[in-house]
Amino acid sequence: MSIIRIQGITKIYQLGDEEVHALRGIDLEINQNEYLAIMGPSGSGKSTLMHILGCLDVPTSGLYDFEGRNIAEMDGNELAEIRNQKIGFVFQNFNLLSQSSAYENVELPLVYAGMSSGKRSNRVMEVINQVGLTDRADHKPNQLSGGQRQRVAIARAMVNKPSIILADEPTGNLDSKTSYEIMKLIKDIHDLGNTIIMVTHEEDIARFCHRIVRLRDGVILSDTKQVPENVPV
Amino acid sequence: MFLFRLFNSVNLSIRSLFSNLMRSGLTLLGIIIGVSTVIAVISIVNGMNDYVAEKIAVMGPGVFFVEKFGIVRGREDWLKRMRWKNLSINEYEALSKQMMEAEAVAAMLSRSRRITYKDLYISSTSVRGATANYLSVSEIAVEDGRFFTEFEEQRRAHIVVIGSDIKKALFEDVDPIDKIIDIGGVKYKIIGVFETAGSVLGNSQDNFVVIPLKTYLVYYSGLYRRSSWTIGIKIKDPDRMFEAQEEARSILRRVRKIPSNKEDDFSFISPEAVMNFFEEFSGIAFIVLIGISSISLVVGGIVIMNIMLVSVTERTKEIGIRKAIGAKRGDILMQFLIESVLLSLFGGLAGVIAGYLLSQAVAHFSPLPSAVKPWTVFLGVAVASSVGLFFGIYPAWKASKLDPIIALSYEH
Repeated sequence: MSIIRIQGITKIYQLGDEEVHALRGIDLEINQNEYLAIMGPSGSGKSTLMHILGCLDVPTSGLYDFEGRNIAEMDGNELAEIRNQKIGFVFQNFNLLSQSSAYENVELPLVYAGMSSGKRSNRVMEVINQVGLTDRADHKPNQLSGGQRQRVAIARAMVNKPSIILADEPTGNLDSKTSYEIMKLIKDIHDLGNTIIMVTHEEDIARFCHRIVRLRDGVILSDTKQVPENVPV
Repeated sequence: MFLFRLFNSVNLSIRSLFSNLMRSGLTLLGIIIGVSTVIAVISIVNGMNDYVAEKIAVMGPGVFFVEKFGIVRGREDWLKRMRWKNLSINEYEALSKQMMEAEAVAAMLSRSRRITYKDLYISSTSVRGATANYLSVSEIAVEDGRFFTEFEEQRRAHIVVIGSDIKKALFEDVDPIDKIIDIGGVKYKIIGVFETAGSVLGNSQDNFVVIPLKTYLVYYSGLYRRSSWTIGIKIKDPDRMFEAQEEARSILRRVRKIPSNKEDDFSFISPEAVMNFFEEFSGIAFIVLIGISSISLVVGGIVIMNIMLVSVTERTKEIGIRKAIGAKRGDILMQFLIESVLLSLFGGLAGVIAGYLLSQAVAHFSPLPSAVKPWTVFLGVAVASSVGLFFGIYPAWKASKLDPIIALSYEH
């Protein structure tokens, strides 16, 4: 069943007098429980595509159908609601709130969803437990290692039970051992039935995915399925 | 859900304010100064109003005075009144004979003289010559001894009733009754002592003596032509103050032969008139000082706006993160708005405390009284939070408008 259907998406930025064509017509269909890597060199448009997929930005033209709703026609508040309910973000530099504990960081999407504090605490502890940080819940980000921070970010991405998890270079700031641990965690989350879209430029990371979409100069170069390798942990 | 989000935002805001205590404190200086001035000014003006009202009550109900000068409002007014004819025995006699509304009509004149008892003296005391019914127009009572009689006044007796300051200064361990004192070279026997009236704005009301008017006219007559009489009128029905003043007015105009097209050339002083005048005066003081404190409130507000703008810039990344995980514009707007309201609310509370201490200090070290009313506390806090709300709108709006992608990629 398809979650995301994209047709003829373009994105044009105005950079001074110059028009930058970041995306020049992208067609893409992503199904439930896929594990997809979007790859490409810098300037290929993969970040732009990621932003549009994540409803942080809207395309200049084209159709973006997310679970039957046209994203291109939504206003800021509707997009915020989609981001809150349907999408979980994992970033390269973790993007945690430095003043808040791991628990509070994971809790935040539920706060914006308007869930009561009693219901929140159960759900928050459930996902924190799932990423293996139960005993670190009250630590601030600066008291956690890089791998632990990314686990907090993954917990935050999952806490609202989103339709897709969008990971932007999730291992970009981690050493290879920690990277594999994180990839193993993401694989486990995928195995539970989640849909995962990952942006990366590392072939070493992309080999754990089921499908690889390669971009160059704002168009799709190739879209291939593969048998994923096991994460060596 | 809204309340719940509000609570959450308040929580977040307090955390961020306390993480920057020094900066928050400096930011709030303007608000603190503004609010404390407002509180102090209101307290002092209130205190003076209470005080004057209390002092005026000393005049007693149903009493008013006729004077040449009355309440002078500025130099022009004073120059005009200077040219008016003095009030004299003619006005006094006309009023005491003709006025139907009056229960008693008293007259008095006064001068400053040196008072001596043995080797002790007071260099300047108000010497009042008064008619024997003086006590019916004055609220002050005789505490020891007695006042003089009509008969004693008629025979120009050398007797005196002294204010409590005189007793304190000249008769520390001695009973003053029947002692002889010297007032400007003339000897008088003390027959009574007044109770203590206290002081008005630091001026003692007890440094005076009262002698019979006719005695006064004998010994200080070289001067009486130049001084105008004060006539005190106690009316029969305190509710008919207006009618009584109208009656006195028509008698006085007849005696003084004022043509009907000319205005009065004399003044009435009643408790109401003094209170009205004082309220008018304190109203002006109030407006001026509130004006000054509004300036510091506006400056304080601008400082808050500035610091909130800095805070928005510093926390651009945080705003980006919040937006990425689903914060709506309203959520961000609310967070920053609450933060600036809370910030200035703390300033308001600090200002209320500072203003309270300030007004207490003023009351303690100066003759100005002070009364802090509970509602001024609410006023201070309300004013401060409104300033925070108003000057927080722009920074909060700016924060809410940030593009999440740009905010997320912001590095400082």
